[in-house]
Amino acid sequence: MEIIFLLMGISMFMASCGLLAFLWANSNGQFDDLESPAQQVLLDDSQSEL
Amino acid sequence: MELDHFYELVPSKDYALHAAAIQRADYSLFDTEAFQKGFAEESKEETKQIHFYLNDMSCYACVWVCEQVTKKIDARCSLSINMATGEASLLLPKGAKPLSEFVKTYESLGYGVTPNRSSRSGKGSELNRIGVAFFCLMNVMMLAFPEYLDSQSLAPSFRQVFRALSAVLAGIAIFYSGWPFLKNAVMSLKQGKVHLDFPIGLALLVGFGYSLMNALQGAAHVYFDSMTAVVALVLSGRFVQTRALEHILREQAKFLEGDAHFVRLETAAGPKMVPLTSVRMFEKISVLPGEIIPLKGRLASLGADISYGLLRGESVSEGVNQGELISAGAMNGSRPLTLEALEDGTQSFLLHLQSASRALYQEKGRFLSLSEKMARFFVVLVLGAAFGVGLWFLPSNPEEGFRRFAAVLLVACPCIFGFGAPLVIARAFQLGLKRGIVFRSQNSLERLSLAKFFYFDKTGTLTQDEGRVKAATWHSENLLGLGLDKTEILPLLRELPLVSRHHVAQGLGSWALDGVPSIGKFPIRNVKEIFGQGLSFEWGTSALRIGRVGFCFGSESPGAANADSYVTIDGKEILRFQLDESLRPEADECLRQLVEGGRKPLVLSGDKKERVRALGQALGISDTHLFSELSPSDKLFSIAHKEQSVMVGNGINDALASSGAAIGIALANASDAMKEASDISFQREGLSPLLTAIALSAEARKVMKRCFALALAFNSIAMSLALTGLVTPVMAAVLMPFSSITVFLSSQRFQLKGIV
Repeated sequence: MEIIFLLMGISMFMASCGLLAFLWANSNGQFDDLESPAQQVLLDDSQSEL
Repeated sequence: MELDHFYELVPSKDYALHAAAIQRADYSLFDTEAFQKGFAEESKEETKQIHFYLNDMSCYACVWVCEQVTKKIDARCSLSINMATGEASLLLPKGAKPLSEFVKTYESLGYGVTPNRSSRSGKGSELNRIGVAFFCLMNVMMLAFPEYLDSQSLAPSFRQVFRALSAVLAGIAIFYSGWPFLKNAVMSLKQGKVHLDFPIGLALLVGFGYSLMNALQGAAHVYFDSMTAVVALVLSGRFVQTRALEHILREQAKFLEGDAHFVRLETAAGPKMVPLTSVRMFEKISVLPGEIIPLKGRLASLGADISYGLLRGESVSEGVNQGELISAGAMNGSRPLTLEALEDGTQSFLLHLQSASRALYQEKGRFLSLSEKMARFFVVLVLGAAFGVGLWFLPSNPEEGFRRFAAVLLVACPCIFGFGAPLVIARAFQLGLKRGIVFRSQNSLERLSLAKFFYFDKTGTLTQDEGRVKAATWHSENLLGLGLDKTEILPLLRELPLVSRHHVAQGLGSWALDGVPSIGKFPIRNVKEIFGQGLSFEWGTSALRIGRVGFCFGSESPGAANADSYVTIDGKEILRFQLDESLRPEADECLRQLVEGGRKPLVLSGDKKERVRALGQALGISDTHLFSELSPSDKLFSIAHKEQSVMVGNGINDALASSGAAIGIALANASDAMKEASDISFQREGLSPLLTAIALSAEARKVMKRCFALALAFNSIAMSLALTGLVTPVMAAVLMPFSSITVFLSSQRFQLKGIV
């Protein structure tokens, strides 16, 4: 049964990775704008004349 | 991809060009330090970041166009736009083109620029708290399983490890994520006010302490999972509500932001419209009757009467002599006046009006909102029960007393208030916004359906917008007799809107606009505007009057049709016209439905008795419910049953009544002052949003009450079990999420209801 301690450790570690990823994403503004980036990929970066 | 190709992908090709090009008189304003304050900030490496809203973004093509033109103006600058919110930020490195260039370009494309002066912080840390809370919740729930299973058969060492881990995770959730509750709880204790966060904070602390104690002693009853769940759920509910409110405030900011205020600056070449913020001290501005004095100044014209009604609630107008001081925020009475500014436009009263009016609404919220009432009831109930049972056991068995005190606090789930009510309100706000209804407060949403008395303004509210001149006939004999030609009169009429906002002046002005050149300056003196009657002025040696029969000829001449208005010179008719004031097509149906719902429509008008009576007959409103010939303050005093009254209007003369009534509603065509003074404003033309707003309000109340009933039922069962000491961790754990989920589902039923 001692294996459960190891499993708990692994699960906590994995969940912490998830949390850290969330905190990192939030601090980098990943959740600030949920609409525009999805559309932005459809356009080229070309500096075309208007 | 070229823009042309982009358009080929969308069904309609006029996306980016739908909005009319906007032109301001003066863009240099945007480059002044004073104006930029609050929405421009220095970021790293000598780069300025400008925050503003770009209005009327409708699809990604708009975003693309704006980003491309930015690069075209100055390749070193970059624009980023959040399409969902319309928030834009422009990076201007040092030495780049001035901001005004960019603004001018965006506006020439039809995207209005509104400075975004609201603060841009807080959201990030809120999300972090929620993220941490849910991380803790998921793990604690997993670790709590052994508690619910057969805890006795587990080796004690396992149990201790599970509990220790749970305690650490719950501690993080409570003291990091739950920090706002704890802080507010302490504040509410200090201020002696009942605040929902007080029982939540208390329950979190007591529950955590109690569970920790039991865990250390190896006893049963640990609630780490429930505590964490409360934190996570309530935080999420608040987050949703805050976002919905922010969305509403942003919509309002677009039409209330400071630079929307333009004033008439007196220059050598006549009056010129400039933004209020560009007015400097000692410059002179002119203010028309019915307008608000925008800044502190000294009266430069001969005399004026002003009223501080909008500011102070008293509405007696006072005479002011030349050279005397006038405070900002006063309303100009019957004569146009010239004001010498004694402060810069950037310090103006009007710019602070937005924040001031928000404070006013908070003050107005002296009625408890429905959710506040329920919360207060709940808090008193729970605290009473908890302390009651604790004190009962205190003499005999203090330990048992504390145990039950804690159990009651713990099982009492505040989800309805923390979670249910905010969701309902946010949902209603969103539904309203989609239908062109902006609720400026939670209170206005909750109370609207309770209102019994609906006071309507007449002109522009029940009737169509500003009067349109029709059936105009010149009296050529009189013109000839005076030695005048209509080409001499027309330019005068064309300039009328410059000196008066009376609807007669506005109507005649737009009527005379066609094909008549501007004469640049206005050769008339002594303009007087009499509310509800007309206006008079002097031109050379002649006295002109514009208005109804009685006003123009001194007495009601029997033969004249009542609907006619006249322009007279020295008492002689030169032009006869009618102002088309047809009823709004939906007015009849709207009032009928109000009456069917047991509500009373009333009319408050500044207009003549006969005309108001005719309107009443057309709409089937009895004479006792019609009030005519009212000044703005009369309108306020005519409102009886203030707590159940709604004032629906559009003009500046309704503003006072609107702030006096329980709820003020501004139609889409309302003046700025009226919008400021109202609790609900419509963005869609006409009266039909009114019925939708009432339906929304009724529905919101119903759903909230249903949530409350559910929560109360759950809590009563759970609390009575806790009081008798029967509650076990398993039951608490089952009841808590079950009640939360029911409340959540119940609040979401809202969208299924067919609201017009």
